[in-house]
Amino acid sequence: MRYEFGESVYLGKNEEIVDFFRGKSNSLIVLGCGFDPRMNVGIKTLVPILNEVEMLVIHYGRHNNAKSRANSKLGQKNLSELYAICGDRKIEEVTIERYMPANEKVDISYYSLQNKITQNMMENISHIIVDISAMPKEVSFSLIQHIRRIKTEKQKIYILACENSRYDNRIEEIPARDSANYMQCFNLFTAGREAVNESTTVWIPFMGEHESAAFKKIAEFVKPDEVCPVIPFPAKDINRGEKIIRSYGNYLFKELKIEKKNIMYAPENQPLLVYMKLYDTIMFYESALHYKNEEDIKYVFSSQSSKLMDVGILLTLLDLNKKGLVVTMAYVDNEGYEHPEPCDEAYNQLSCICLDDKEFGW
Amino acid sequence: MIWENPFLIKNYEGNVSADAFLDLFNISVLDVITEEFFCSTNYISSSPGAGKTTLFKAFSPEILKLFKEEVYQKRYNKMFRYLTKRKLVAGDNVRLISSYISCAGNYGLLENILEEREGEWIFSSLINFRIIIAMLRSIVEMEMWKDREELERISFVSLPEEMFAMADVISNGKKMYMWVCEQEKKLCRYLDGNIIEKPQKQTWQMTLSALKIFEPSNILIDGEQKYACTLIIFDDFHQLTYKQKEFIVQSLYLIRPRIACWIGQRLVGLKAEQIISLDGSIGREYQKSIILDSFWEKNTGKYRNAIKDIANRRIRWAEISGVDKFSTCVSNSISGEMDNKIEEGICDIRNIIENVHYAPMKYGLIIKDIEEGNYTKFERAKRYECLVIKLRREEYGQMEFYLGEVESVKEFHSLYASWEKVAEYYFCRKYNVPYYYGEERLIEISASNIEQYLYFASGLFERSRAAFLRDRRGKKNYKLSAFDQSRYLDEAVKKRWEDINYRYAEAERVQKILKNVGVLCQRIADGERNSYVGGTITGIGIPLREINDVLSKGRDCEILELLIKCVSDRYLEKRFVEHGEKYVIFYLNRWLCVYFHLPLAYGGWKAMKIERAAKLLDEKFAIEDF
Repeated sequence: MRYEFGESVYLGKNEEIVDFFRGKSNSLIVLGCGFDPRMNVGIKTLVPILNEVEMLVIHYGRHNNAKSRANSKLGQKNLSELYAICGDRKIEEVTIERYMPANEKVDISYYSLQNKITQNMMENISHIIVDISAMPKEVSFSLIQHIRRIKTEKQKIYILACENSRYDNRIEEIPARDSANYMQCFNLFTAGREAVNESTTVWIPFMGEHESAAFKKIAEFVKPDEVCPVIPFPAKDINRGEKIIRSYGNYLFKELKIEKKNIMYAPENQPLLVYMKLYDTIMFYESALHYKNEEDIKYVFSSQSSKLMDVGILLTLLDLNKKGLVVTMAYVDNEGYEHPEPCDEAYNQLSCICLDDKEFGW
Repeated sequence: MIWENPFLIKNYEGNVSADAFLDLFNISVLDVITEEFFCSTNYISSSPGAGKTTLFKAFSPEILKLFKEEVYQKRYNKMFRYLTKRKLVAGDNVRLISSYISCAGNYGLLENILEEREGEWIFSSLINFRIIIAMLRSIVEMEMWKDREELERISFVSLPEEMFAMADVISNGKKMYMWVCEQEKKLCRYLDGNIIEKPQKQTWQMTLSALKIFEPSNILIDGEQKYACTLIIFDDFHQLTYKQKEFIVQSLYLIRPRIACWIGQRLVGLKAEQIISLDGSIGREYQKSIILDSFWEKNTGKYRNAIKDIANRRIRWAEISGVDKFSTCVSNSISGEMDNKIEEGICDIRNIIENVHYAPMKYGLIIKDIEEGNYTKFERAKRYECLVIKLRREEYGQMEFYLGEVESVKEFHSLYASWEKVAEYYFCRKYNVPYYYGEERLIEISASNIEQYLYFASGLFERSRAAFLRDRRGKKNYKLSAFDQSRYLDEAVKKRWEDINYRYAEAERVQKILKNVGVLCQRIADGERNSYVGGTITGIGIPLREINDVLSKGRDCEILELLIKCVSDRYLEKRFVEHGEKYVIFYLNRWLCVYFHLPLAYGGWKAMKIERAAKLLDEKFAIEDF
């Protein structure tokens, strides 16, 4: 099959999620503890309808600064709410180190996850639901990659995300690292090989508002030969794509010198379509540029966009990595978030992708 | 076609072609590289933007290969002469083969994700693989081979003992390249978790055997030795862990390969004592160390000439008819455009002088000279301001019992000669007249950092060009007025200040200390009575004895840590002064002087003990405490 996840079940509405999960037993909900008010949206929906459910709450280390400390208090508030929702159900809390103790600039979350989250924790579990609503993508991507690597064939994995692009657009990341890096869970070392140093690099950045500092850092780090920016369109805010192009225009066209025809459009709320579009784009590049015996082409994604678009990127990475392509994700670590208060819950949209369930898999 | 600002071209980047690189390259920096750099191990450290990577690129095969052709030998004759003198080029033969290895490849992670022993051999393997791949690639580039198939033409006189077992697999360049690429891929895929099977550990990977393979006498091309010198550049060395650095340095010391090694690192890679020490020496006798920033600071004349040449090269690169020098783009005087403001200032100063009861009498001759002498408006203004400084100093010293004496014009002229710059600064500051303008001041603002110069010059050039295009009919030249230059610099330094937020996790503390030093300097300027260089202080000085005491005892000292951090990132500039005892002066970088509206001369500084300096970080910082 061309797309590994092309026929995966995608549940884009609350009712569809409730119908799908109602009565399922032996489930584990893995979620990150964070400041994001959407942390418990998925739990509120799923806990009452699942038969037997356990929680695995992941705490991740943060930079020691005032912003992070303030956000950590919000995280505690969300955690108390989670305990109230779950009642007497089993809740396990795990803390993973995000940064090397000797050097706060080095992110080690993927390796910490490997040590802390083991197969034993998932014994007797049939459904692993990873709620990424309050997780930074470095953690969520690593977590899903890791769980896919350790889970048994029978266990099914689901990605749950509460999207609220209005709120996401207003969250500003405060970049911390001097420069960007590749994500550890997807070819960190392979993408940095000396042998691919001089080979073609195709960069596919997902553009979002208020992230120009991070965007420039990633551009400087990736040093792409070809750039294909992805603009969210259609999007809830019909002008979003235009706003993004306007705010990045100078840098995109003047400094990166990208061609207008390279700009891609991908729907904001359809991760499967995003995935298929990316997959096809990369396969096109492979057929056009990757000749026999030539060095590998490096495909780099980056995202400053919404959670659901991130899911699309994640699916592409999982699929193409398995096929042996050098695909990776570049990101800039941040030392905290500036976020608006409050989050307008009316715009929350819960979505779920079932990686191991096929739409027509009967 | 999109217009490209020539000042924004990063000459060290891969997308700048070899001849473009040489078109934009000023060879003054090569003076730091003496003959022995091509047969020994050397550290080359610098803060960001001092020109380290550009220097490395000058010795890359991509650049050197041009000198095989006579046309380039003539076109870039200065560089050619330098290379010939160092015996790196002989006729149309390039005798140096170099490769560049970046140490920024997440090596630091290995120590955290693997067990100690495993981490060590994997690190050593990766470095070995990378040396081999990079060296073979360099040879392909230097020999201008069409593809890597021609690597077959490379053979080696001998292989290190520990590689004998693999002699067949790596008997020529091509086989070696293919094999090593495969090994590197396997190892990286293992580290990324894409394969579970651990690659086999081989003895040769435990040491840096690859260094021996590429000794110049060991490399044969079509059976002949072609190179006299091999150079391996390990850049971004500061990104390695302490153990990894020690491993490379010890290997170089133990193996003693007959190759040259340059270790490039940013100042952050140095220990605090090294950053603070007089010459930044590393303390190893067998390795030499140079700090590019110090080189430029010590050779200010050379820096001025180099930077002017770099600017002019970039202007020529833009190919705009009638514009071939940077000085044609920026005005070096304020005459004409600010006349009204200057006149207002003069009137105000006259009032000040008249209000001092004895001044009209005492300085009557001088005032007459200023009014009637053959001076431009601005020169008159500066002379008046000079008089104000004199008055302020007299008032401050309360030395006045006016007994009717009259000061001579001659005396005033000699005073003016030494106070002119101070007077200019005070006058411009007080009456909002542009102070930061002109080619020379821009060089001062760059504070011996090429990238800093290019950053500001790029904005000025862009504005000069925009003004020309906007008013093509009326305007006959590209000159940007002093007012426009000053306005741009004001915006640019604000942007740079904001940029600190994106550089550090502890940006707030860095900004706090810089701001408090800036406020302190401003406060002293307010008095308007300082005759010393510039008119106010632009830094703080701490006794070296106290600093050494803290560092030698390994005591925690937040303020010192921050000051050193600021030095390594060039927010502060370090100097030494003997003033009763030896002081380390932490001057604000000159762009920060623009931000705080301070003069650009390195003159005054405020002496303080570490304990007092710590108050600069206090929540309740009070200027009165200083």
